[in-house]
Amino acid sequence: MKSFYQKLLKKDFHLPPRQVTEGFAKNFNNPVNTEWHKVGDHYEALFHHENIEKLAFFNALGQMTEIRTNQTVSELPEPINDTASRQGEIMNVIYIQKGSQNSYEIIVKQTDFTRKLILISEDNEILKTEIL
Amino acid sequence: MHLDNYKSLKDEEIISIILQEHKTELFEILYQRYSRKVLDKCYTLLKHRELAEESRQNIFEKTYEKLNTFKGTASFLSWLYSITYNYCIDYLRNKNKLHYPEWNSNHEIPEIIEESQDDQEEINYERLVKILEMIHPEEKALLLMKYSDNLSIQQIGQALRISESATKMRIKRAKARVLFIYKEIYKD
Repeated sequence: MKSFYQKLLKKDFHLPPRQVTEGFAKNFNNPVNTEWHKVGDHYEALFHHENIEKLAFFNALGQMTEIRTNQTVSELPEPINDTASRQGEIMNVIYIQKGSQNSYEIIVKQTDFTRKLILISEDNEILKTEIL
Repeated sequence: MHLDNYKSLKDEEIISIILQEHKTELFEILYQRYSRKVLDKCYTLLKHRELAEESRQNIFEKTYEKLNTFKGTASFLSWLYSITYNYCIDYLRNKNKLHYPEWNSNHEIPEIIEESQDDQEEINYERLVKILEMIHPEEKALLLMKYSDNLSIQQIGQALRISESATKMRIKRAKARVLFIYKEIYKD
């Protein structure tokens, strides 16, 4: 059990190249507890910013290519909330900003044992659905 | 057929023989190997001895039914654990009507505390055990899956039926909550 807690508390010191950390610092003031992972040829930062969980993706040049922000159901624009709610009870919302295409990744509960992922654009268009 | 002849085989080899040669009795070896671990996992989550034993049986039945879907990309034990967590969390969600989003909204973390290397040296593990019982069962399950059972983000997401992004963010939140509670209760 002790090793579980050691792993839980272990701080991730695997920093990406300086260009990437500089790109990160330019975009986010005072991030807390940043964890870095390499995903393909991109770098992913998982961190808290103003008490909210965020995932930010950077290319090797330090340019931010995407950011995902954890949101509450109450932060969803009403039309998008309505569209998602027609498919089930909303259980999770993540706002995705990627270039000029922003969208919401929403998980809905349909029954006690089935959940669905719905990707909805800012224009309220359903882009993708997937049974989880 | 004497099971002893096969007991030295690895999990993946046993599964292959079960599926290709239909020697279904060999599943008993896997049951004997991991029955205790699964029971302990069920009890950790469900906190009820009889329910944990019943759940163990159901989990192994489910595992046997799904054996042909085991791809071997992760270990059999990891796969078995993901089925175990999925079963127990589904039970808790259904029976106890646990509603994580509602609970999370009602239990905001007032402050995200900066993790430091000193935490590892200063932390009292017995106190952390108590704190793990204070958080939502789904957050506890997330932390156990990631830091005790070493399941991948993909496996954890599949077990809880959430996306990989949601999995990462919820683990982050659970970790922050544990640290906040620890610092708050044990300020000295």
